[in-house]
Amino acid sequence: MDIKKTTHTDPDVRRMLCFQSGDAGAFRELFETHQKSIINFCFRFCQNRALAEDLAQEVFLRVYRGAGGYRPDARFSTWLYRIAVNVCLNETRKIEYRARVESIDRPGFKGGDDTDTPRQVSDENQASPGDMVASRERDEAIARALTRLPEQQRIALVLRTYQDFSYDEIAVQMSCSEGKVKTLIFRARQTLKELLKDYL
Amino acid sequence: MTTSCNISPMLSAYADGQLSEKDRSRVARHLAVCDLCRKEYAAIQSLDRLLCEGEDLTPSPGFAAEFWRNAGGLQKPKARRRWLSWRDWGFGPVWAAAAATMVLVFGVLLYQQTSYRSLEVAIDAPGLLLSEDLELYENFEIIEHLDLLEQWEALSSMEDI
Repeated sequence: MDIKKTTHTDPDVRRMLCFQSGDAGAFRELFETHQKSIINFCFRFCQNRALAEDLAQEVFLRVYRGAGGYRPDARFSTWLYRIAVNVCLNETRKIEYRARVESIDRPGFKGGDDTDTPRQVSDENQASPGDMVASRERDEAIARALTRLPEQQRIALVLRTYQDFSYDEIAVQMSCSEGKVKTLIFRARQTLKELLKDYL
Repeated sequence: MTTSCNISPMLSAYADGQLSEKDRSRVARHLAVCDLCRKEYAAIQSLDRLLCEGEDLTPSPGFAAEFWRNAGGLQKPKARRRWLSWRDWGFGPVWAAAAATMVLVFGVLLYQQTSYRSLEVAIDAPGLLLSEDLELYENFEIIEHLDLLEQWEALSSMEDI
């Protein structure tokens, strides 16, 4: 991939550079463009809607804070998902723990519109009306199978299957070699084929 | 499903279009003759289709509002001081430094040549042009007074007078 050509033609790179120069509207466009895909990436990692949205919030806050140090060395999405991978691997346990502690401290708390109060992480969050498809048996089986994969395999497979990144981009995002990415995806598929054989 | 073919581990990357040209044609040739690997490859393709069948989530209505509330407390990134960033200048500074060095070198050479000539004129010593050899130049004082030494006898006789 010709990185220089890609960065010059990537509209997100231009938006990010505009944001670096102080154009807040450019960041708003980036947020609008990528919020859905980042939430879905996080959801496929943790299979919990509320946690996925918390993780996605953290991803965009890091992008916002780290904008000053951004360099257009690759596609913007490569950089964005590198942050998302780090957040998923490092923040999941912290956020889960924080949500658990807070829900214990506030036993009557049910989440909702009060945004000053963190959302409770519970099974209710997985079955909102907008997610009817996710409640279907097949989707639940896929979700269960994905959560049974080791974290690294899950992330590599999700980046490839849903986000359509190349192996070399995934290697950058996961800070590992391309060969390792190949192995992670191969093993993830081997496991999923076994777990989902009734649906294949 | 697993196969005993040694090409089997490459099928995943083949399905993703992530093999080199050489490996890709090797796998394609093998698939044409191996039923087990063809089934394995078909299983990978249907797994990918299955994984992509589910619908994507849409962000909750309050997601964006919550983000902007959280981001409101953060400092906006300061516009980079581009004139300080050598990366943004590309090779400009390198060329400027090279040009400055050239000018400096030529300046020094020119200055040396000028001062050398002015020295010649100042001391008015015709023998100096001959003393390009450094050793001779070091002994310039002796050479300069050679005339004096040649007249030494005349001078000493004058002293006697």
